[in-house]
Amino acid sequence: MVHSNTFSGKLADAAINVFMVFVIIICLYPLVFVFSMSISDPLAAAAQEVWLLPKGFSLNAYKLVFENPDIWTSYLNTIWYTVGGTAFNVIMTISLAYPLSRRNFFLRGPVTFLIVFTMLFSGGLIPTFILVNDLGLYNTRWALIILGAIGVWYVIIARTYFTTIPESLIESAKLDGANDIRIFWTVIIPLSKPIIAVLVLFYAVGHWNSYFSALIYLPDKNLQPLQLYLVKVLVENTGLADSIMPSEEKSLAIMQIKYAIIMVATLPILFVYPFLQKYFVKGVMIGAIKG
Amino acid sequence: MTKRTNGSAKIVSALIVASLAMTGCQSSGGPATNNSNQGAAESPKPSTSGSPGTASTSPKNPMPIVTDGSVTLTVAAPDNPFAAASLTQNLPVWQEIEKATGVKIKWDVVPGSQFQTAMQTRLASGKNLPDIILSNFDLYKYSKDGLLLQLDDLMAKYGENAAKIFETKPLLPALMKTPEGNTFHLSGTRDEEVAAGPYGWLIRKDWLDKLSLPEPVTVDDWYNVLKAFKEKDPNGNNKADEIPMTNYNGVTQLYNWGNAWGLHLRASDGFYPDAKGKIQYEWLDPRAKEMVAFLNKLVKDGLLDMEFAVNKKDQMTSKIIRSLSGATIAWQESNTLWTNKLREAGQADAQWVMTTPPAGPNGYKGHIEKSGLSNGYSVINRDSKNAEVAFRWLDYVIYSEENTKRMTLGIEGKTYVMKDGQPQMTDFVTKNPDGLGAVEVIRSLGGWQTFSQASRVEYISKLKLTDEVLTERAKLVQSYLVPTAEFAMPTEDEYSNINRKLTDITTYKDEMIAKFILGQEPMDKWDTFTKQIKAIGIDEVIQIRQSQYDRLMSEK
Amino acid sequence: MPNPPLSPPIGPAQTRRGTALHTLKKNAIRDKFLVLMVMPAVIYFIVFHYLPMYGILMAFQDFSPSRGIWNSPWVGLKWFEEFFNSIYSFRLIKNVLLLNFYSLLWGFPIPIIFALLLNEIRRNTFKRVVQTVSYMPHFISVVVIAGMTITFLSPNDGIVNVVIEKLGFQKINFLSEVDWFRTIYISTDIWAGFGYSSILYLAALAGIDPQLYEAARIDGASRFRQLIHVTLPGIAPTIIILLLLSLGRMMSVGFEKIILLYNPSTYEVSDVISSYVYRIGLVGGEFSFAAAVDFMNATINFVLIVSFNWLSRKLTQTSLW
Repeated sequence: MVHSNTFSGKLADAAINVFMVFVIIICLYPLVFVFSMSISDPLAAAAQEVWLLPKGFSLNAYKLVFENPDIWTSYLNTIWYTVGGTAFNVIMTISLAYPLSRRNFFLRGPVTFLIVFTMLFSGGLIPTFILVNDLGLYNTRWALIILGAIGVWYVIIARTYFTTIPESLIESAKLDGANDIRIFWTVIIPLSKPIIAVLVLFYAVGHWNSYFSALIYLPDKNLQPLQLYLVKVLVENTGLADSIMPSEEKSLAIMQIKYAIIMVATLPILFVYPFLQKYFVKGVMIGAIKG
Repeated sequence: MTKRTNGSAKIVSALIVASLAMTGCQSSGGPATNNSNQGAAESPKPSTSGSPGTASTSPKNPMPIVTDGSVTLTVAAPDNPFAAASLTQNLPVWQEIEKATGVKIKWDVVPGSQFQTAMQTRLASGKNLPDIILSNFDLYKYSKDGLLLQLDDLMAKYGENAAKIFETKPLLPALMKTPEGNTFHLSGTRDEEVAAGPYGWLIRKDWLDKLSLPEPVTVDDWYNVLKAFKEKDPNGNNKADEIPMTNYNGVTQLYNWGNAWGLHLRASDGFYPDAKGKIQYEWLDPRAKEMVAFLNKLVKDGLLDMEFAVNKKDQMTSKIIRSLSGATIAWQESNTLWTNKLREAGQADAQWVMTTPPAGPNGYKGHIEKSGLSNGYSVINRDSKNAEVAFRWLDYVIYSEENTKRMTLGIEGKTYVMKDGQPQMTDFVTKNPDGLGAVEVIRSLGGWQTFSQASRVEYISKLKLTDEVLTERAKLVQSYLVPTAEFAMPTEDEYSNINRKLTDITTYKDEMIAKFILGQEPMDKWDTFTKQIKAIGIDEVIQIRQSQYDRLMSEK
Repeated sequence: MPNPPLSPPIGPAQTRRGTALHTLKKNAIRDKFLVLMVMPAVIYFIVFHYLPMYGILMAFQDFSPSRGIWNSPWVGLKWFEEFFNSIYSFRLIKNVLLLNFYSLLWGFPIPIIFALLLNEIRRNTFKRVVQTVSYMPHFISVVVIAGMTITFLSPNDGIVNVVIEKLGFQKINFLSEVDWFRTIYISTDIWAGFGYSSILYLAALAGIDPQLYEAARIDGASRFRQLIHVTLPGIAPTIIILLLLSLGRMMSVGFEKIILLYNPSTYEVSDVISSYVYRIGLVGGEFSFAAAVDFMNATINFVLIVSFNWLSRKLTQTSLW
């Protein structure tokens, strides 16, 4: 990929760069906007005079967010669910996806159908709730980890990636006397860093942002994640909830709090991606064929 | 092969075990359902149980309920709408309630907007139910199914505070009865809220003064005032950027304008009894057409925010604080915030006030609909081990004067002080250091929650009428207040019939009215509109509403 | 085709004809370690997904919480009839399908194109910055995205209308006009999600063997030809699989963003099944009705995914199962 000495090649490069700058602008904008809203003077924020840069300065909204004594507990909980849940997810997902990627695995078709079917049909919340109770998972941290152990979507993604690994590698390892589990660990995993990085990222983001399971299965405040707090602030501020609480006028500080809580709840997870990016570089497969 | 058979055998046995578990929990539900039926049979005259005549001289529900702190009630509720303080944090108001009742509370809270989802799941699976649910949604389905404790006997035995409230509000106990005449939930009252801090037409008084206009009285006055707001640059920036009137909560909020024509389209949703007690669907009334035509004219002439269907509270507040809009419909207490913020932003004369509701062109003087009478659905789990304590706790928390005062005014010495026997809000409420509004301050301490509360006008007015202008204006609109239409709980058939039909009718109605007002549908299509409403089946809905209404009137 | 795995695998078990049972046994022995690997997951799916599936029965019952699913009365297709008795049932289905169709039409290719362009960036730091920034909008809550959308598109002084007016055109009341709803809904979706979705393709791109590019260059292939002959075939399986998965969601639209952006004047195109059920649900706990609607959606999704999977297997040899 070094052929860009031609004029048209350079032109294409320039066009791509200009386009990417545009992408940066439109994608950075919402975050900058939220940040500016969160630290602006409440009056300017409520008047919606903040377009890009903060107007005035006030940390009042952050003060309100951090005044809540529960916030640190929920922060730690979120980290717990994200780290523990993601590790479990990734192990479960790849150990299912790899066998399903093997074209001649005799259960490949049936098992794939079995899991894809669950993407479409589900028994709904009530029987699942009963099950979680019967298994003694209700109001325990394990409810959040185990319930979403495997995302079908991610299994399919991972399986698709594994199928691009040359079959000849597996065959030659077999000739060397390795069994399937050994092949998986010594041959497949080292070649699968990009997809594992994707799984880590997607599962981690999923755990970080999820609140619904906690809402249903974790009544204990000490176990609840940060996102429940975010939900409380955001939805109560949208008017969706107006019908159930009339006669309430919000002070400006409370209107601003949603921007502060988004910053507080979002910044840490934003920094996960840059760390995983290095696994997306090309070259994982270099020399793979030679084995 | 053997492997496979084993695997599927395991699955089958797992299924059997699971289904046994299910039937197990079902059979425990069976006899209890019978119980509640028996309960209904045993108390043939439940309507007398709550009547005030039976109140004896000795208190039926003395506090504390327990002295040794041996009882802990699990209470599920939508969490504090003031997001920075959760009810689980043992907030001051609830510390005092614990002290007064002697009952410890274990909170089980869910964010308000998600409360229904979470509670319904738990109710429907019958698992992990708390002793008490302070619900903000209708629990009819569950009372019918016998998951909830029937309260009539307990009411007769302990309902001392409730009885006092029912004396002044005889409709309330009737509203809480199922069609069979049993009571499964307790509701607070809310109608007084409107009396104390009204909801209605708010206007920039300083703009009127600047343009030498009197406060508008009729809808025609309103048209002229808004026109002047648009054309005569009342915000003084030499730009014609005024959006004379704005709103929030979309097109349905504009239905309040029907009040000028003597219609009840918002709080009562158009279902209102006429002079003879016949329920009418007032959208079919020609006056509704006049109202819509009026609103259409406002939009066409640029007097009503053309974003009226989209606006949420944030958009409205923004237009008001930027001094773009000079009129809206909202709760009166907003005036304080808006006036102060406009002044902070440099408009020294700014003054928002509540004005009387507009009078109609046909000579009607106008009115303001109160909120519905009942508020919240507080219930007790049928399997609660402390049912009596739970009932007495509810009676105290929802209905007692002492506690309604606490829930509204907060903590004596902190949020209010007694002066000449009258409570007075402290600076901590009126000039909060964090810039919180009065209601938010009370909420930050745990008061003024969204669940059942028998509000009392004398306390709410202390909280909401914090200056002379507010007090005087609230008095001004008192004579315009009218009650909303109330209906008894539906029977099962009525419920399922009305639910789906009404969703279709409401969908069609809101869609068409929004388009009429925006001018996307011409007004001469009005006849098609009313015909279609009839075609969807409004007559059947009216009939059901009528029988609900008749039942309620006979209960009272 | 440069991709070795697409060639049909020839295992000994498939070449020899035996009884089905015999083959099965042989396969099971041969694949015992693979079976061992999928076992935990299969158990998970059976316990947490298949065991609760009896909940689907609610769709055919008048489910009552205290009687539970095993004892509630059967009502047959009553709830389906009720749904189709609504004058809006077909409008709701049409709106869901069209919204998803247009979402797919515009939203599906964009992350692919973006990933391919990103792949062409030479400077690594710049590439990483673009990559990181592009995934950020995914984290801004839909409530805030909707709020920003409303503000930008305001017919009073939203920036979009200010520009439109400066250019000498009539202001547009975007969110109150039927013609604009889908465009707004879909474009904000793309805005918030294209960077995040492109990550999947970036991973697929990283998995392409660089030797293939080397070989193409030796053959004198231009950059564009490399794109067509190496890059696209390399990520084709990912594209096809994601497309199939999207087709399995044609009947699903979440109600949250709809509710934040719609209003009665745009119901004609914006009201979808989930928002309609949400409005019914405001009145009471309609478990059976909701279950029936879910079941209907799932069935249509199922039919779509099965037929397109079949089609894809015939045409591209790539399929879900």
